Amino acid sequence: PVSSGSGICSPFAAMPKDEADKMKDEGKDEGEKKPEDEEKKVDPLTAAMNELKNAMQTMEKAVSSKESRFMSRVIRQVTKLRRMLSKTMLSQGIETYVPADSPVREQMISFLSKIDEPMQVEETPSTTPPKEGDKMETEEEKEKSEEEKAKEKELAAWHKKMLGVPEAEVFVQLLVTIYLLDKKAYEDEIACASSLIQRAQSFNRRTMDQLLSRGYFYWARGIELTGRSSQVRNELLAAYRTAALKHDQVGQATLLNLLLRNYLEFNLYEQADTLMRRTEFPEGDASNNQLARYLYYTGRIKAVQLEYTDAFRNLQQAARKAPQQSALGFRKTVYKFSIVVQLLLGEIPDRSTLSQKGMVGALKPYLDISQAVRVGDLEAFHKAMQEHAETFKADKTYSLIVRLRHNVIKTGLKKINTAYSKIQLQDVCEKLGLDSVEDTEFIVAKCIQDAVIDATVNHATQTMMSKANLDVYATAEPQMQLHKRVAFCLDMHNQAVKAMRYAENAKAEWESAEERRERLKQEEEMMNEMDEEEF
Amino acid sequence: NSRSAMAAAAASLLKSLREAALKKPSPDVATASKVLGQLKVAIMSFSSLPGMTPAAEANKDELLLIRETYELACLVMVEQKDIPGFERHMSLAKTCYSDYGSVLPQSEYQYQLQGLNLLCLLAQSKIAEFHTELELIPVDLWENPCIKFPIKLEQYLMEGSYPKVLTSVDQVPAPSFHYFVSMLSGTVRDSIAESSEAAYESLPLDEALRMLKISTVEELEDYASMRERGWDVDRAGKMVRFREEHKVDLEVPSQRLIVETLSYAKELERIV
Repeated sequence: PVSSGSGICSPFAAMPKDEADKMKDEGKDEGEKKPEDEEKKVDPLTAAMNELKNAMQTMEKAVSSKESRFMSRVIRQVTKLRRMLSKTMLSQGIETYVPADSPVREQMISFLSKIDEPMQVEETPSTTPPKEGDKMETEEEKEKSEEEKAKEKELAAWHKKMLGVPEAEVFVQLLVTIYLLDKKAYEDEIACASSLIQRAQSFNRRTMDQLLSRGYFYWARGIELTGRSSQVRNELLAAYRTAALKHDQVGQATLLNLLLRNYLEFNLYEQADTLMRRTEFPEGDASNNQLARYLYYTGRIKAVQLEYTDAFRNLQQAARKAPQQSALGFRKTVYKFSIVVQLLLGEIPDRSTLSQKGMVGALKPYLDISQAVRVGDLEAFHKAMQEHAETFKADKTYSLIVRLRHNVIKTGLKKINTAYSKIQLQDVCEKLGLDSVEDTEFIVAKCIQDAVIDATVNHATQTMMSKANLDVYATAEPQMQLHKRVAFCLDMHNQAVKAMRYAENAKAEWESAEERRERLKQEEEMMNEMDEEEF
Repeated sequence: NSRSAMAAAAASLLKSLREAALKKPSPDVATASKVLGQLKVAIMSFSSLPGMTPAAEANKDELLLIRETYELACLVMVEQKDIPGFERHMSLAKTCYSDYGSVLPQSEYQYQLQGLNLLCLLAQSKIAEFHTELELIPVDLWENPCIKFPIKLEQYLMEGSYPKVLTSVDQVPAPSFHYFVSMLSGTVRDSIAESSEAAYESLPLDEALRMLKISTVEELEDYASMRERGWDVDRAGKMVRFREEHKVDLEVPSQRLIVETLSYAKELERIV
């Protein structure tokens, strides 16, 4: 139930900004007239509307300049707005920015009305008699100054202009979708999101792309939460094709991620792999978050297919590109996989990775596993696996951890090899907790063949003898390690150069310098750690 | 009407296929293949084909029939030692399991066939595909004997405890597994030979025979020459000497160094 449009539009155009907002407020709450509230009382509704207004202004700039980064900024403001969303705010948003003849307006209003929300301000469904509004208006008008009048006119003109900007409408629809999702009205949310998608696609404007991709994202999320993901794959694929044809980079990135996520949810690694190989992720325009997601999904796929080096690199990059202050859940998951893959590579993750702030609890099972692998103790490994089996299954890392068993043995053998120059196979068998000496012999032989250890077995005496350790500096090893680091630094430099932009205002420049310093510091620390580890 | 007549004809064909495929002690391959051909033609006329119709709309009886046909076909292929044929029919059966798993009741052959599929991949050393397939099977099902068998085998292979692999021949959960297990034994023997080369300088002949599970010295010589391993079978001294590996790499990996240095130069030039 919303008051009739005409009752709002006319006084609105003539009033100073804050009062206009409050007027809308009061237009709704029939009973509450607070004429004394003329100070800038920052009630959540006003604050929210101000935010919305800022967003709209940025959007206008985006549309007129056709530069995607303004649009990205608008999208970023969505996160801020999300916290401030409320039914009244959204209704007002719809009133202000969605033209009356838009087909989706009724739909949105009906969705909103279904939501049961405790009203913050005492409101009753209002039908403001225009007379009352007008009366207030005339009183106020007498007190206005010339300056204010000019500002209002500007505001009015601006609002009229905004009504002609379809992005604004789509943006409001996006906010409604997010609000419905947060309120768990999934069916409505899916319907709203699909109408958003259709509407945005009907415009076929490049500036709409970012909003469209967000629309897809929330639509897929709603579908996922209602458990219907398996049915929408064809639609997602078709959407991806359309996006690719239109050179809609952002849409491509989002849809690709949605598809991969869909496949991985059902463990369809083969199809995910095919998709990954056939498509190219648009690295240029996609946001960092999408890139982080993409790296994470591809890392997981590669890990299942035993390509551990690539998988590890992807997962590490995903962890770095993810926002460092927020997105804790994402980072936790990425780190879980990255630790397991690191173990599968034969390296032990260091303590700092495992004991990061906020993640200690989640990573505890992985800490146990790492300890077992580090020591080479099969029994501890089995115990840890048994104990945390449920967690691993929930994290979907169980199958990877099962593969760790022979890593435990390899590490154990490595340690024994460095510790003993000559040791009886029987002792090896006992130390590793293997079943029989014959098994041990074969296992040792295989490890030697895999170049895990450098030794020979003397069958007659049933002993394992280590070969003399070469001086590692005499090999090509140091040069290769150096090369790895140099390549990494050069890669980082190139990416930084690509990401540079001309500063639009001094503040932005300051941030990027700060970020770069931060990143350099992090890299330096990482280098130091790597150095300590190696030698 | 014709639809139901065709369905009835298909059902009777399926029955004869079942009899032929499941005959003990060994399936009647000739009859089975013939009936299979006829059945496939009959299936073409069905209204709901796997992969073409969504799960909700499919005709359950037809799907059940189709699924069982493919399952029995897989078993027949294994008997005929036709691996490509097995893989083809397996992929057809898999679509029935995955896409229509929600509408069809559990098949009695499903685990056996999945285990067979895993084993087939393992025997061909397609380890990456093995793991991808394994991911499709929910973790709780891993305890099922048909599935546990290939998983355990893969573990033994990875570790290198080959004796366990070779003894597991006796523990097959179903007779259809035998073929792949024997294929696997061949792969195992190669692996043992390779690791022995790397690990031992020389082995007494009888030990070598025992480890490789070869019965006579002649066979060992044949094996050595066939694999071109450069072994030295010394009958008199009763030793098998393996290649001496003097891995002292004195040469500089020039190609790699050149490429790397050039890339450094290029990158440095780019820095303004």
